Amino acid sequence: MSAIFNIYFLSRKELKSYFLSPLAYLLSAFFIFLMGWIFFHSLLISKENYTLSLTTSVIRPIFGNMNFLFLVIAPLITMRLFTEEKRDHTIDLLLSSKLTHLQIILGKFLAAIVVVLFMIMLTMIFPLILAIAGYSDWPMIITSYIGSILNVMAYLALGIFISSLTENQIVCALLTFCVLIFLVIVSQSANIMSNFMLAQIVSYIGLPTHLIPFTNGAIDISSTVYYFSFIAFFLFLTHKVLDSRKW
Amino acid sequence: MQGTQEIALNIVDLKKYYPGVRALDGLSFKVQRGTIHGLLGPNGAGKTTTMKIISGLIKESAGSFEVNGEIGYLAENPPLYQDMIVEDYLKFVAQIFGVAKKEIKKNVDEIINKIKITNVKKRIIGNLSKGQKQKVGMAMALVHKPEILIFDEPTVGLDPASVIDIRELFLNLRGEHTILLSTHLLHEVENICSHITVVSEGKALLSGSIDLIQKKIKNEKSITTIIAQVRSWKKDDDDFFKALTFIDRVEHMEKKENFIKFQLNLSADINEDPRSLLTKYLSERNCGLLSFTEEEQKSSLEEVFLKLVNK
Repeated sequence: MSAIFNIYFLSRKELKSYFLSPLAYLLSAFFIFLMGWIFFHSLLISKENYTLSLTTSVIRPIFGNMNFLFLVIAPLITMRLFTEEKRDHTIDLLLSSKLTHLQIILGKFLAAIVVVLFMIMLTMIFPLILAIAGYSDWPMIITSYIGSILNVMAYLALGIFISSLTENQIVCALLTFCVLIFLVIVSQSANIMSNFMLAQIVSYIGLPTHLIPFTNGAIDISSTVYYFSFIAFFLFLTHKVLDSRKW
Repeated sequence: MQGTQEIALNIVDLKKYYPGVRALDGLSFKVQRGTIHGLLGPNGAGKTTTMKIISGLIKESAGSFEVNGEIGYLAENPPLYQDMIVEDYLKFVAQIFGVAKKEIKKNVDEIINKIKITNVKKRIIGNLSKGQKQKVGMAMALVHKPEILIFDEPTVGLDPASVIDIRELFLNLRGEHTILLSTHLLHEVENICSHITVVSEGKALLSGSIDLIQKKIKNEKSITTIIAQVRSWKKDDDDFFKALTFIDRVEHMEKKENFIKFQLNLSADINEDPRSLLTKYLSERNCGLLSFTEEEQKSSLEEVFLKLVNK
């Protein structure tokens, strides 16, 4: 019980810090502006291409672009999580407190997730607008949201790990972005591989491979397992980095 | 022999190695309950490393330590969240240190009054002066009511008024808490500590009550200078005083018309009265002694410290 409280105390502190600084608002504004623009475009295209369903011409591009935008936004959200603590020496306060390393990591992870959920929540206006126009494929929208949230959580887990490695926020954001881009591009390169097994492996490593089933309207177990293992792996590495401060 | 209840901290043969560096090399000392114990040493002596090990922030390479009570640790750079309000920050610290929910507000108010930061409690930490930040840091270390307080260089970089404030706070905390503080400022130690441990190159050179140490050092190191005016000086001999083992060296020799003036620096360990020995020696050689003046050099903690550390 106290473990949950501890995580809550830290998350609340992190969230206050996010929403007291202009960063969260700037990112949200930037994000929803671009998303709105993309939505508008997709609507125009769907008007031209009336042979395509709204799902194909609007919903899929919306979620595809949203996940793409988070490649840039997620590193900016996670960049301060541990870097700032180390710069201001507050990490020692957390480490000498009653919080366990796991609670510290989960507290910060949870805060980052809440910021992302806040941004994703803003995009719910688009399905609602479509609903007014008569769109009704709700399961499709729900699985797309679930997939996107899992996908962005994976971005955040990687970002937290990298922020535990460096004291420099810019280095942290850049490095996170580079690794994420690599994980996206790697699944593209699977298409041009002649070795089938290798292509399968490479494609499995890539993040977008696992988002596709969700945006097709399915909750894919193997992809869910992939996301959760991805998150657990990077949070575990972060735990190890925190442990290593004691050495 | 003191019981364990009397000992707040017992550090035994503590070692900490970093690649290529021996930060601590078998450090041992005890801190008695209710005292203000100064950890004194030059930069890089291992003070911070010791404090971090005791606070559980880093792990020792070898040795052991015993802590009888909860610890409040304030590092040299107070761990402050620059974007938080003082009061909220203290509440947060109380929460993560496991203070019961209903006690939090009481504890925070109490500490704010005790440390005298009522006027800044609604302000953002990042906008405070260095002295105020240091006080908030002290409040942070105290808010969960630990028995043992560990402060790393608490007055470094503060203006004199803040230093006096903080010194007063220490004196107010004495008795209620056991305080271990590190410093390289000797007058600070002389003013507030009852016990000291002098650390150099990861070892304790001296440890104990400050009075005892000063006394011990005075006996060991005090240098008495005798200025003797000697009549009927016959020999023009530089080695004249060689036979007197207690004379370290002849510092100064001045030939006047009918006497010679010597300044004699006496060596450290004299058991007998040097005056009677000198009188005897001179009269045996038919050199009358006109007068003495004696100077005793008081050994300040500063000299002791420098002497110990430069050994």
